[in-house]
Amino acid sequence: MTTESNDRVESNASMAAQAINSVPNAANVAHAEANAANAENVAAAANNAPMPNMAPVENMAIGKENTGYKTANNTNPLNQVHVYEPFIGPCDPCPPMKLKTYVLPPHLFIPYQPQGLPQYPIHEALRRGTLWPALFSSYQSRYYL
Amino acid sequence: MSIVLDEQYYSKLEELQAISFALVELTLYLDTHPHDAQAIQQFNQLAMQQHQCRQAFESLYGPTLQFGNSFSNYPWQWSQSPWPWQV
Repeated sequence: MTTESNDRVESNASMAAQAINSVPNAANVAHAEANAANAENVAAAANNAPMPNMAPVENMAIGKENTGYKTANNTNPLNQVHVYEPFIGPCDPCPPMKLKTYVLPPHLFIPYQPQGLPQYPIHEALRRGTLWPALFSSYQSRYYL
Repeated sequence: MSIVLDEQYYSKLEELQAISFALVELTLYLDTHPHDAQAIQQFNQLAMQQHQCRQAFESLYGPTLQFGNSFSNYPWQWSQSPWPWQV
């Protein structure tokens, strides 16, 4: 996926370069220069994109007994992703999934938010989607890394 | 006439976004907890910070709010590039 985005970025940069070369008009040159500067910034952002967390996928089938129920997220103190084995009948037309997951976010267990909970710093709260660590629930795709 | 999206644009925008998000969270919290004095004090401090941060951002990059909640230069800045999904 990063190679595809790099290809798109390179094609954008080449298109911007062609735009600069083809139309030497005053306003267009300024606009194309802005586009070239923006294309460089997009390339920098694409190269520095953070990797998603692989630990839940790696720990999917491990049911360590820290709580008595099976979770898929044992390296993370969240323990919000639960794993269960659905019933598999003999007449399935396709190969069945043996392990399925569901998420229990913390707001199901806290009916009224207590006062004075510890908070994240502001910038980390923006990235995590909540101001309080006690209410944090991660948001990971089951199908793509 | 469009704005160049350099490093400073994104750092200032992220600062403004972080403060705004914290204010949204505190607003929703205070709707159900009206007697939390410490939260109200934090809310007011963040509101002051947001005002200053937004003024600093808008002096460089133009209005961020519509319908008179931000000022505009001549010519009309609200419709100029980049639009939000282009940032």
